[in-house]
Amino acid sequence: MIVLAFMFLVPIYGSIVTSFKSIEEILTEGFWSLPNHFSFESYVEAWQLKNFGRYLLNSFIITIPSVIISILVASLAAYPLSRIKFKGQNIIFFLFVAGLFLPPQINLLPLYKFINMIGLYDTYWALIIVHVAFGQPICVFILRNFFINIPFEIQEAAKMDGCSNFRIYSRIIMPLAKPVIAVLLIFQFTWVWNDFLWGMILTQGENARPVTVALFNLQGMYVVEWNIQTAGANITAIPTIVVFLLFQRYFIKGITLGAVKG
Amino acid sequence: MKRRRINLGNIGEKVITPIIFLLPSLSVYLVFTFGTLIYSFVLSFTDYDGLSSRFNFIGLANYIKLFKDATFYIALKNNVIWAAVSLIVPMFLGLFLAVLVDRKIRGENIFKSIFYLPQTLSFVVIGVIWSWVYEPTKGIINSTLSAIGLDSLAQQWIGDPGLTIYSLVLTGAWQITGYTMVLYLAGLRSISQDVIEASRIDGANNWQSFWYVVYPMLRNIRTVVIATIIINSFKIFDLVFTMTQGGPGEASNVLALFMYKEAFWKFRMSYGTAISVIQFLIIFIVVAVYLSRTIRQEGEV
Amino acid sequence: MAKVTLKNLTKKFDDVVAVNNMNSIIEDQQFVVLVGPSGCGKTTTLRMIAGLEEVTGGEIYIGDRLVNDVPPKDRDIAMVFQNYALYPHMDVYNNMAFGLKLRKTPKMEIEKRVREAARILKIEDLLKRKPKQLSGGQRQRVALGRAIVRDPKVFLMDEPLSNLDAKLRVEMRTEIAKLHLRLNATIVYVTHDQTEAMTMADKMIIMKDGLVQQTGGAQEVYDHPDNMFVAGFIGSPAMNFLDVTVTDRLTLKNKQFDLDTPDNIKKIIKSNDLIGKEVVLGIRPEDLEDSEFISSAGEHNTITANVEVTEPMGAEIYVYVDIDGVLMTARVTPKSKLDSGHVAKLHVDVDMIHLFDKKTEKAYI
Repeated sequence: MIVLAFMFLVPIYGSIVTSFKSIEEILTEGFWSLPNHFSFESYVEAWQLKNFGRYLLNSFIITIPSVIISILVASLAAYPLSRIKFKGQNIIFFLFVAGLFLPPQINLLPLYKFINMIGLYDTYWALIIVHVAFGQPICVFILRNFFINIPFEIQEAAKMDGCSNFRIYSRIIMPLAKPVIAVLLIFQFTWVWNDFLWGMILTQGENARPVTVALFNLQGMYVVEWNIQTAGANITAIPTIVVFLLFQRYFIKGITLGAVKG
Repeated sequence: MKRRRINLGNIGEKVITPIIFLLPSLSVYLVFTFGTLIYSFVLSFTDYDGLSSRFNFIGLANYIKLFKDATFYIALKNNVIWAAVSLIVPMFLGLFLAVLVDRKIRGENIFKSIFYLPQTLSFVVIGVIWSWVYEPTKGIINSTLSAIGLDSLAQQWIGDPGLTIYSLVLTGAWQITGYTMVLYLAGLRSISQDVIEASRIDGANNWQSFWYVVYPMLRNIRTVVIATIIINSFKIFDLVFTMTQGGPGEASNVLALFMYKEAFWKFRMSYGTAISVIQFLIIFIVVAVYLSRTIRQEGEV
Repeated sequence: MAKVTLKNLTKKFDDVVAVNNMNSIIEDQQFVVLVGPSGCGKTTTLRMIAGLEEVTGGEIYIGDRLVNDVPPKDRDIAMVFQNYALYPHMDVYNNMAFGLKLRKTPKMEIEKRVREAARILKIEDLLKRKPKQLSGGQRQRVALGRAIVRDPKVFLMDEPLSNLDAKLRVEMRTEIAKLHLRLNATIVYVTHDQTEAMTMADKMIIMKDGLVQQTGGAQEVYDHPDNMFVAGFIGSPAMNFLDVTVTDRLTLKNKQFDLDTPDNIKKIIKSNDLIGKEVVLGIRPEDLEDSEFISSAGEHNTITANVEVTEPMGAEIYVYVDIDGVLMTARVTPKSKLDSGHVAKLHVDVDMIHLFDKKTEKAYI
């Protein structure tokens, strides 16, 4: 297993050491060696000349509202799906679950047209709305499955205490769902942050372009400058890696929650 | 009989409340996924190009063209290869790692993190990192091979048309193995220790109790893993796009990329939607057949 | 405080009738227990009073107000749930204060009422704790406290003691009974446990299959059960039932015995014209005694049967005997030497016997 772990880490090791080397050193020394002297030049260049600072900010501006809105909206939907009995409940839940199986490519062209039509092309909102929409299936699925296991008697006690449905949602159910919401926050964060397809389709220039797309463009322009590319890749990866390392347990729980179906 | 009053509270509870709670989520979700899905179907029967205002219904012409298009078959074959390899490598590597990690070894969390780490990276990041790994002269693989005197095994990993798709799948496997491992691990942890101990008392050795008791009990998890891998394999886009853009030539093209190029590079919007409709149907049918078979088998047991 | 009136109350779940045309009055300040086996409709009735279930037919009044369409929060009731249903994320104080806060009660008033309830229930030092940190009995007290602070017209309790262990259950039983006296509250209490029902109730409403079987005080129901179900359900060990024929000498005859009847039974036999007919004889276990210890007995009014098993309980012995294939229970004095394999002579206190119609299972009056 140590061998396997080593093999898994080699590409990441390569990416890290390379980003601290100069291009000459890469050409002479190759892949494995540690840099002769640590140079932050690649990072400076990516940050300043290639404008990674701006793109990184774009990614945050897109990701944070996307995550919060998608979970908030999904939790509202999950409440009646789990806590109130009404006709059509199962059909609506099935519609959400079906979304887990949809390939996003099928929505690509009409969505591109639609976003253009409503004048949101190349704005943060275009990406936020899309991420909120495509985040619904998994968020609703996980939240509904969590909500449904909260004892109904608690809800009834709250009703007798004088809670409206909205109060039950906001004062009882949501506080109890804190752990699962934490899982979703982290999960959605990586998912939205790592998006490439929608960022590429729905933005141009630096207005709203997320960092993943910027990284891709870097590759197109500077095929040989491995140091700058890996530096860009590391910058792009740092937020998700940090989040992952800090909340590792939640990640793993999140996958499990998403997988244990109905 | 007394006149029954209309029970407003009840209608509110059973109709109005659910609508209010569901409205934001459902509206944005339905418009952006199912709405556009239906529009995709419509577009695929037209000659719309994305640029001009031309918009005529041309029946099945796009589909007929598609079934005569050699690139379509290359792309489809590559998706099938992707699914087939992914169903072997990450499936069993993930299970293997899960079993190893499950023995409550020291540093369990560190190992879990290492194997899961690639899963947290964007495909674009992975694309950059692995392009460097596969780089023909200074990349890890070839430079390592030459360092240990095996120059003859060095390859143009993503330049050789016959090899490229496998190199890409391998990168994909590196990314998804952590995911399958975590799922299997969850499955293993949910199996009660009593059952395993019972099999020991019945005389099973390690391997036997795994093969006859544990492995069959992982069936539900396996279903999830297989379905996820199939869906992902037919959806794959980012990785191929960032590493090879389908090249060399069309050698590593896949359906999603094929569609993207047709629609956005060659301005054949409606043709692109026809491709995505076929892609969608393939996923839908394969997964539906697989799941219904699994569920039927479960019914028989 | 108020009385609760149920008029023709009916509840159907699809085709299943859970409560069938129920008519009952729960008087102001009365402690009423709805009791019956599971599925008898007692909990459904309580939930309809609470407003948690819709009424299919009939009417519910709290005081003089028709509440069929009034939402639970406006019915001025409080409920204690079987699993307590405490809010896990709130401490004890806030669990009790929550309902008052929602009603915009002034802060001082909330504080005063919560402290008072905590004092009554002896949970003053637990106010800062979360439900998870409490024992079952403490949780139960908090659930009661949550109801008390609301100072409702009616308390509804759904099997509140069934999750407690046996010793605590007896303790809380007294506790709730004391609370009732102290608060002068109207309480509707649901349980499947007939001992609990008898010890606590001012009035019992005994239900089966959605139908009220009998209503009355504990002793009244015990002494004069209206039918075989009530007779068998109330009292432990349960009443023995034996098929007998009424002879023209007005005795009750069976293969193994022939019992005299007291005057009141003779009257019943005559007025119902039972001579020569088969009826069901009901004898409570305590009305059977080892005839060795009845000075006047002799062979008169005794049943002779084989002893199957004996269970010494300390203060008494349960003796199980076989009467023509039916196992019958007798509660005899601990001095008795009866043991399995013996032939027992059991004296019947014929003044205490009951007669039921074999078909309708109703008691003859």
